[in-house]
Amino acid sequence: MDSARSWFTKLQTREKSIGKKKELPPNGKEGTDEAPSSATKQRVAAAKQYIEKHYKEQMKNLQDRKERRCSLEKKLADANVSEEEQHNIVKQFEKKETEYMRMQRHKMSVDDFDLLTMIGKGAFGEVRVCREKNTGNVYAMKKLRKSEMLRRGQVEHVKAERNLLAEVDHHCIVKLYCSFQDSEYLYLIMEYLPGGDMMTLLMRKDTLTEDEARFYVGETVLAIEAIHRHNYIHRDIKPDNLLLDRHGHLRLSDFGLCKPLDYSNFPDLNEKDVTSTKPQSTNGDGRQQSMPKRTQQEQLEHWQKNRRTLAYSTVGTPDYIAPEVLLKKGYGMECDWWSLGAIMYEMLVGYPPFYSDEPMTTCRKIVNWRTHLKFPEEARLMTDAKDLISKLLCNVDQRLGTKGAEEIKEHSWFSGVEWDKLYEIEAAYQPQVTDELDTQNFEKFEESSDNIQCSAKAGPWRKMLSSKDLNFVGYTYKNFELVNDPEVLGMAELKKKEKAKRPSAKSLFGIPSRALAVLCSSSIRRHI
Amino acid sequence: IYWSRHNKVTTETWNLCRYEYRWADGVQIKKPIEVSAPKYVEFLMDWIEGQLDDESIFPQKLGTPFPPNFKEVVKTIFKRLFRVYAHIYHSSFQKIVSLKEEAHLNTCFKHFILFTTEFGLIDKKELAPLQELIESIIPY
Repeated sequence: MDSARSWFTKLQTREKSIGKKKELPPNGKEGTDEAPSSATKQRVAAAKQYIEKHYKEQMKNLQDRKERRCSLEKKLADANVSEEEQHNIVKQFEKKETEYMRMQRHKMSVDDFDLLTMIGKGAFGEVRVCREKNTGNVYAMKKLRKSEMLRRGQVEHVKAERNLLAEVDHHCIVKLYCSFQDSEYLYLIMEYLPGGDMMTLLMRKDTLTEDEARFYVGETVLAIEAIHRHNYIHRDIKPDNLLLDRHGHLRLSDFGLCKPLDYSNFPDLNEKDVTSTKPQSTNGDGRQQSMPKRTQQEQLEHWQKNRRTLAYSTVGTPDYIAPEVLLKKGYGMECDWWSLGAIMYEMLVGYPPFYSDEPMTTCRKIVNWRTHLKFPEEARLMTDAKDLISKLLCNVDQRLGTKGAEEIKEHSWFSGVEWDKLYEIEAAYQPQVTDELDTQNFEKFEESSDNIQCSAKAGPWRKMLSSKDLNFVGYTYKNFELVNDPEVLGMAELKKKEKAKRPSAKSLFGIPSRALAVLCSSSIRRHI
Repeated sequence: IYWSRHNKVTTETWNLCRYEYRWADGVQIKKPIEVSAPKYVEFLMDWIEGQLDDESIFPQKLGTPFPPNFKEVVKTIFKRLFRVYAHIYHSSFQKIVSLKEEAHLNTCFKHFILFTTEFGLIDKKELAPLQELIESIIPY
């Protein structure tokens, strides 16, 4: 709007025409034109960011609202519903929209929730099951300490996570219901998925069958594809970020943010140095020999022991991170497909492909993957599976997925997979879940003594003058689905009609009934 | 700059130093006091936040009706917010430009004016200090 400038010029002209004299300093500048202080600059940047975000989200909210309306009208047109019933459904929908707008005014705080069992813990904070006091709904609350994120340079990452979860509404991604902050913490209120995660599942089962692995690698492909479609690179995909819902279907999350891998402290890796520093041992007669190789079983047992330690520590693991990320050369979306390959290897073999006692050694192995990627004979992997893993754990330019997820879906290991039905069929693994508060599928964490509930309430963002808070301007978010109105029966009825019958995993993967029986009996045996 | 309010609106609208505002919220400060512009803005923002948080005015729970005087409350809020814009444009615009914030300010103000005009939230005489700028947004 240039008119404001021209208007301002006109104003100055008028002031001159009044004939009033203004005394100017000798340099001709007014005293108020001194350079702005750094504090002022910081607040200006925060104000700009706030305003831009405000209008962007306002437009998105309007767009979302229109889409919800169109979606409803389309469903009503397709459904066999009487005119009166249609009218009632529309009225309930409008009521829900009104309630959502009112909810936007409510300042969320940790006091709105009863905090229950801890299900994850890390350097930045923790993840905990919680229940909203008003509605009784159960969520997972992810609580992140601001000071730790600032110290570790994670501000952009946590903002990106909040933005992704707010933007992507997809059944492969864990749902974000709202986010808010106080003076000490950021909070993410997310869908609670009581089925546990892939890490816990692998700790119980050691390995998955090929069909189980195919199912979960397939769902992970769809989840990664979903975030890539929104131009988001996860870069930290690992088993503890692959959550399972109560039916065993997989959703991608970033709970692992609680366990940051601080590889910025590692010395810079490059392929040249790694080769020359390969560790070797010397035997009695002075001749150099390599370390004796562990059997697959020994390596698996060692990893399981170490993994259990890792689960309770606040340090992350580099086992699934792509070499280009470790080398800090700059990375693209392909780094997530590498992680997929490492996870697939672990599902089938029992431990990650570059597992070592020390994280630094693991990093060196990853960077020098050509030498260290091996498939133990005892694992008896099928040729197809080895081929797919080898095409994921390789150079960026040759890696499957670099040109899109279709490259991976077309691989022969996935032949027979109906990609659009993966989330509709029975999951390959059915977690035991007794009730909505059940946490048996997560590791147990001891409550620490410093677990006093902080109820510092956030004032308006304009009063958060410390630089710490300016970094988190615009963090608050509320999802439309927070409005859980049991009176919207019409929508529930419509959804029921849409639900297709679930084909079993057997019909999808063509498992002979005898093999299925063996699979079931082996599951029973594990539980004994 | 000290602000206090004259009883009359003068015709010399371009010269804001003729316009003065005095702060009184009728609660903690019953008698109007002269305050600096930054202080006025802070008082105003705190007061508005109090209004927004007041569930008897802006209900959050479903089904709770808005109060009968809701529109009057909103009009008061917008009238006072307008004074902030008036101050910024008349006294601080050069500073805003030097901080490269004028696009943000103009966007907010345009939205503000379109919204108040749509719902009739500010009387025309109250808009006099920025008459020409407003005419560039909404040609009459």
